[in-house]
Amino acid sequence: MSIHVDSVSKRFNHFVALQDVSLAIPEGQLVALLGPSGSGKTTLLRIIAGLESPDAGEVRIHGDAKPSIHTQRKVGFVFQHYALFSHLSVFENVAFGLRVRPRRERPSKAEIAARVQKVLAMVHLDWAGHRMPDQLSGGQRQRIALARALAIEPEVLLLDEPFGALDAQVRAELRQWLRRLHEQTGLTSVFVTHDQEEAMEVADRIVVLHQGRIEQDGTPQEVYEKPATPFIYQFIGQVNRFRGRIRDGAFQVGETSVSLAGPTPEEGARVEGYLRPHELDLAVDLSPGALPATITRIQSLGPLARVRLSAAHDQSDLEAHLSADELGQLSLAVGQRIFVKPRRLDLFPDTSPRQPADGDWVI
Amino acid sequence: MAHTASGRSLPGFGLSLGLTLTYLSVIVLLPLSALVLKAGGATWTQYWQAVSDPRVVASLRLSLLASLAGAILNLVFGVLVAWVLVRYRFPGQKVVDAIVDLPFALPTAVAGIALTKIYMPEGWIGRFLPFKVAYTPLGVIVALAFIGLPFVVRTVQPVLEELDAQEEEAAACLGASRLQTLRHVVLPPLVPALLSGFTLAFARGLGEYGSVVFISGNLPFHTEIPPLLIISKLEQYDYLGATAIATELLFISFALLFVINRLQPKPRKGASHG
Repeated sequence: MSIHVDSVSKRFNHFVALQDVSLAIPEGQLVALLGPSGSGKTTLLRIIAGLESPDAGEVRIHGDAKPSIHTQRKVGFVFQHYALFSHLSVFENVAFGLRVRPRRERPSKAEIAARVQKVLAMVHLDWAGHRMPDQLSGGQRQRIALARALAIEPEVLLLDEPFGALDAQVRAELRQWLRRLHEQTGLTSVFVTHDQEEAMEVADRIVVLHQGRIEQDGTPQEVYEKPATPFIYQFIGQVNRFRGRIRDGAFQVGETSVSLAGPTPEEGARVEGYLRPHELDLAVDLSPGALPATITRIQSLGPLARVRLSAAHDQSDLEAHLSADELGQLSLAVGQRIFVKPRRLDLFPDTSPRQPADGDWVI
Repeated sequence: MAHTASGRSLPGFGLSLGLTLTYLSVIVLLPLSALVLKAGGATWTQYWQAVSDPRVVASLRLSLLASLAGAILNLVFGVLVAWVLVRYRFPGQKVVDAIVDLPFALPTAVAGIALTKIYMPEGWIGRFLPFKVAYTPLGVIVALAFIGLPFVVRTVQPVLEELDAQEEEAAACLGASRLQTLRHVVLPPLVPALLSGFTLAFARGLGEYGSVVFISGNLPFHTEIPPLLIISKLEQYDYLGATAIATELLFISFALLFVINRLQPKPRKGASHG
């Protein structure tokens, strides 16, 4: 079923959790709500589930307005800390959503047992029906929580940081597994995460939230390759930043003038240029548009080498990723002064307070 | 990790059990056996006469029923108080939390006199009620409800604090109504604590003297409780009669507490993973 979020706003006392958020999720999509803590991602998920009510706006699932959790029963919700009923066995946990149905909609005992066994098999825990939740590991409990949500045959599946409480290895396994499960069931699914790798790996589409607003909405590739804002550049993946000014149609950083491809901001504007570490070339000799920097650390990890540098013009930290071969050819050493050249730059207006050092070169 | 009851990681089972039994014997069993021995001085006929006296039977019945009613009242309202204290934040919460313990701290006679003043026909509350509270069995129930409140609140509160509110949200997401959530998710983990609180309040009610004697009016066959009968027998130097009633009260209380404790669901054993 599709999900429509229409200009939803929500405040908690003085804290603005969501401001005028709109989002349309077509049927069958697996969407990640990605953002740092306090960005409003969990609030948005809880509003979609009906666990919170929006101050303004509305949420529709398959076109139906859904004012409160108690007027619907087709949302599967998975909590970060599982929220299994600790006094009930695994079987009873999964059967719960079927047993609480009004008598005339309630399946027979045999049907309930069959359905529970089916979803337990889906999460590979059909042997665990008689266990109590506290006899299972974290990863197993989260799979039970998922089975419990699936047992009610929900129209949408919502997951709140589903792997947040698990250790790294289990988390990696469960991610793959969630992706496969999604391909099996085709359920419209939304999950909240603050882990960009998790979002990249699992989701069809990533919605990045920041301070209660949607900052970018796109495929993992779009979000990684064409971040819409400086915030996303810094939040997703590693990034290098150059601060400077537009002079004579070029980007002036320190005493270096970097020529720009594409549209140029207006003359004299203070701008920030962003690029990924693999988009920064290193050279021993000076060339036009290259900036001097000093190597502070070299780290070789198999085929990839990470070189950390300190920019000469403002001592800011930079990072370049190059292949082990390239590193060998350059024969670099810590403390060496070399030149860095951005292969491309994304420019954004510099909104930070003006720094006194700027006066040295702007006149 | 907490040590389990079998406690193999800490030595000293023999020593601790020995101390437990000695302590219980000196503090609890010795005075009680003296009581039973004293009562044993009577012949069976004398004993039977003393305990089957209609006035004694009426007082025992009052005590049992009023304690039961008081404990049930406290069960309902104690859970409500505990729920509000655990689940909501409001101004003056700390004060309300402290007020709950007052019935423990206040001398029971003071509580009895205060309750009598309030509930007597001319009292602050009594004058608005169409029926009499003070000097009736209802007054006894009011006094016992006052005395027993902290037991239920203080046994239920920590368990409620441990409850995961997300389990209730999970139940709602799965389609449970509010009533179903309460019945199938919130209450089951509370049962042991509810039973403990109920038992404590009930037991306290059976033995309560100070607060009840003022509000009950002590009318024989009507509002007289066994402890009062015991005192009045003692004042008449009828030691046999007094101990007979006392042992009867003792056996009934013990039997009831034993049964209620047996009702406790056994904690489920489960090795927990990290």
